[in-house]
Amino acid sequence: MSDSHTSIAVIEARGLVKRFPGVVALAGMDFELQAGEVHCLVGENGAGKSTLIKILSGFYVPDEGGVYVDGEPMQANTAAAKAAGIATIHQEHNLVPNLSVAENILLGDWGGKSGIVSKQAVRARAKSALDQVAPGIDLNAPAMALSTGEGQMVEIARAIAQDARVVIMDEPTTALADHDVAKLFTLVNDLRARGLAILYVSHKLEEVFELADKITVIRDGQTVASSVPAAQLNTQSVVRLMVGDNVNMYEHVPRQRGEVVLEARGLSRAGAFADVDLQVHAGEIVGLAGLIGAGRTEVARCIYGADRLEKGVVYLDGKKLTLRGARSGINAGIALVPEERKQQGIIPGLSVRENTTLSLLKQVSHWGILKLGIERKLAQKYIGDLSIKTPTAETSIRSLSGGNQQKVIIARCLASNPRVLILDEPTKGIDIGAKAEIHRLIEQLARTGVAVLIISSELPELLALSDRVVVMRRGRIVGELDRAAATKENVMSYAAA
Amino acid sequence: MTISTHLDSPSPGSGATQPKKRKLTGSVAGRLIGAQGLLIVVLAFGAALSFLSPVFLSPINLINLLYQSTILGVFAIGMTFVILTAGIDVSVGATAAVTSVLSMGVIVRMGMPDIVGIFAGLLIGIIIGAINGLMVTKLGISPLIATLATLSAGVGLAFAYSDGGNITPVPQILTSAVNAKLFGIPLLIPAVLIIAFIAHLGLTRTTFGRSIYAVGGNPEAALLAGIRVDRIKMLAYVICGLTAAIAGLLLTGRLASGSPRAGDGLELTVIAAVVIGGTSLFGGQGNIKGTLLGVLLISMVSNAVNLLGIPSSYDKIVQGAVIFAAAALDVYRYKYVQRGLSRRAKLAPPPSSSASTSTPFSPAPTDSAASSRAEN
Repeated sequence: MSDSHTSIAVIEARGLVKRFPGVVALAGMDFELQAGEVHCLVGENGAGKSTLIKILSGFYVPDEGGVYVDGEPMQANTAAAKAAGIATIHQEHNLVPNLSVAENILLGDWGGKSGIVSKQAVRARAKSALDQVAPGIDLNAPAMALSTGEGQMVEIARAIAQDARVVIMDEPTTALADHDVAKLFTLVNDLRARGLAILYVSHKLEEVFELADKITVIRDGQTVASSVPAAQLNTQSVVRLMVGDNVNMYEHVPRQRGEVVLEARGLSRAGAFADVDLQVHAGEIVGLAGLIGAGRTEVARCIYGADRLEKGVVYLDGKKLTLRGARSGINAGIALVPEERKQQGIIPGLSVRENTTLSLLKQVSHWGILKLGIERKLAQKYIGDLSIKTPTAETSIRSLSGGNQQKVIIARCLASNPRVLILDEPTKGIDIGAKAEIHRLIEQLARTGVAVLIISSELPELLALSDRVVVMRRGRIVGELDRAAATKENVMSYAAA
Repeated sequence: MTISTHLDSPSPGSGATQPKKRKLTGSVAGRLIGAQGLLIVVLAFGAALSFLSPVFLSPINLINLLYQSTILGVFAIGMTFVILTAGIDVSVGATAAVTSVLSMGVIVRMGMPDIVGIFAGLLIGIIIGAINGLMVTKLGISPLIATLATLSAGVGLAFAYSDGGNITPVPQILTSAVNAKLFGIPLLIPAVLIIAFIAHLGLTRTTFGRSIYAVGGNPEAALLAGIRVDRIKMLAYVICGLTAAIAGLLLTGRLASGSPRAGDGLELTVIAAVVIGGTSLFGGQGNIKGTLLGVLLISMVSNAVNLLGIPSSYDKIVQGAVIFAAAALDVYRYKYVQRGLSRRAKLAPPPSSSASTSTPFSPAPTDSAASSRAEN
C-alpha cells in the first residue's frame, strides 16, 4: 500500500479467500479504496462481489487474508465495520416499513437514554442527514410509502448520519427509474467531493464509466484487474476481463413482419393507465419504453389477464378476448415473463421440470393425473432448446443461476405455444453471458412468428432488440418510434418530457 | 434429545477434503432434516425406548402404538394439505366435535338410518372446510384467525346441540369401524394407511397436488402461471375439513358416544405432527410420508410416558419440547434450504474446463457454477 500511492488507502483488502462448502467464493482478492474516490467493482453474478461486500461490512470472516482500515487490520464483525465508518446500501432496500423516515435514518441508534426515545432529538438528527441528501422527503412518512429511489436516498442519509467514511453501494440502480438514477449519480459525485470513499458495485458498465475513478474487476473470486484507473479501460476491455473471453454482442438482423396478432384498443385501468392502443405483428418485437411507474407493467398484466381491465378490448388474431385471470390469457395464446423472477416467476420448492410445466398442467395430465413421462420429455426438450444449465431436470430450480432460472420461466411460457410473448424486464439482475443468450432467444422466437412485446428499463437493451418502440408516460402512450428513429435521446424526450 | 445426539455423530458420507467442521454439520444436518432424517430419529427413539422398557417392542405394544396413531393420522393427512399451502387450520378438533354430535343427532334424535347420519357428518366437515376456505380466499382473513373463528363457533355449536352431554347409543357400524380386528390387527391401521396412500398419490401425481406445492411455494408466481390459487386453497381446506369429519366419526366410535368433547384440543397435536413430519409452515415443502412419521413420533412420546410410568401431565411437557424442536428445525431447514442446499446442488455438474468452447448459447463457464449464490 505504500509504494506508488501518495495517500494511505481507507480500506485495503489483501489476499482475501473465502470458501463455502463446495464453492470457493473468493480466491485471492486484492484491492484498495481511497478517500474521495468512486471505486467501481464489476464482475458477473457469482464472481464474488456479494461475498466481498459481506466481508467488508463484517458479516463474513475471511478464511485467509484480511481487511485493513487506515493500514490497521479490521476485526471481522459488523460492529468493527461500523466503527470503521463502513456503511452499506443494499440492492433491495433495507428499511423498516412501519417506522418513519426519521426513525429509519437513525435505525438502532436512536440515542434515547435507558431505552426511551426522544422524538424531537431523533427528528433533528435525521433532518440534518436527510437535508444533505434529499430534502424533499417527509421525515414523518412511513418508510413503506417511499418509492424505491426515495428509499435509497433514506439509506444514504442513514450512512451520513452514521458518519460513514466508506459507502458501499450494491447495484444501487437496479430498481431505479432513469431520473432517480440521475439524482443518485449527483449524490455520489457529491459524496466523493466531500472526501468519502465509495465502493460502487454494478453490472451496468455504462454507469460504471460515468462514475468510476478506479475499477476493479473480479472473475471467479479473483481480481483480474485491481484498482485500475478508469481512464485506462473501456467497455470492451472490461467485458473481456469480466467474462474472460470475447462476448458476441447482439446484432440486429431484419425480420419478416406478418399480420397483426395482438391488438389492444382503448385500454384503461384507473390509477394505472388510460386509452392505451397497441399493435404487435407476427414476428415483430415491440419495445415498451418509459420510466418506472409509467404504467408499462400494468398494461402488460392486463393484456395477459392477470389484472382486470376497466375499459378497452384486446384482440388476438382479430378475435376479441375475454380476459379473466392469467389462465384466460394463457388459454388465448398470451404468455408473460413477469417482472420479478424471484417473487413472481420461480416456485422455489419445485424442480426445473415442475417449474417448466406449471402453466400447462392440463396438457401433461389426463383427468387430473399427471403423466410424468410426457412431462419429463417436455422439460428435457426445453433444457436442450434453451441450453438451460442444470445438472438434471429434477434439480431444484433454486440451485440454478439467475439467468438459468429466467430461462426456465421463459421455457414455461414457450411450452404453452403462445402467439404473443410479453417479457417484463427479462434480463434484470442477470449476468452478461446469460443476457446475450436471452436476447438471442427473443430474436429467434420473433423469427418463428411470435409477436413479442418487451418491457425493459435498460434502454440500450430495448433499443437493440425492438423493431418499434412505444413510449409510455404517466399511464399514456406518448410516442411511437420505428427502429431507425428510436434513439436514446428520442425515447427519453418522450418518456421524461 | 434424540435430535442432538444425532447431530453429534458423524455420517459416513461426509467427505474428508472439505474443512472438517462445516462440511460435517452440513451433511449430517442435511440428512437429519430430510425425510430419512426423521425416520432415523423415530428409529433411534424406538431403540432407546426398547432399552428403557422391555414392553416397548412387544407386538401388543407396537400394534397399540399404531392403533393410537390412527385417528391423529387421519387429522394430520388433511392438515398436511392446508399447511402445504402455507395455511393453517386450528378448527379440526371443533370440526370433529360438530361431526360427532350432529351425525349422532341425525341417527339417534331424528331416527334416520345410520348411513345418513354418517354422510351428514362428512358433509358438515366439508361445509366447515369450505367456510374456512372462503374466509381465507375471498375475504383474505389470515388462516389462523379464520379457523380460530370456526373453532370457537364449532365448539359452541357442538355443546349447544348436545346440551353439553353425550348422545348415545352409537350404531354398531361406527364402533366396529374402530374396533374390528383381523388376526389381532385393528383394521383401522390398514384403512388409515390406504387413506394416506391416496393422499400421497393426490399430492405427487395429480395436477391438484402440483398446484398445492406451487401455491404454497410462491402464490404470486402460481397465480401468474395460470393456477387458480383460490380454488386450490379452497380445496385444501375442504379436504382438511373432510378428514377432520372422518376423524370425528372414528372418535365417536372409540368414545361410544356422540360427544362435544371429541377432538377437544387435538388441533395443536395435529399441527405439531405435521410440522415434525417436515411440512414447512412457510408452505410448499413437505409430504405425507413425513406426516405419518411425525404422527408416529408424537404417539411414541405418549407411549413412552405411559410405559415409563411418568405422570401423564408430563406428557404435555415432553410434547411441548418435541414441538419446539420441530418448529426450530423448520426455521433452520428453511434457512438451510435457501443457502446451503443451493450451494451443494451446484456441486453436481462437473466444472467445464475450457473457456474457449463457449458459444453464444453456452455462456461463459463461470456462470452456472456459482452465480445464484450472489443473488441470494
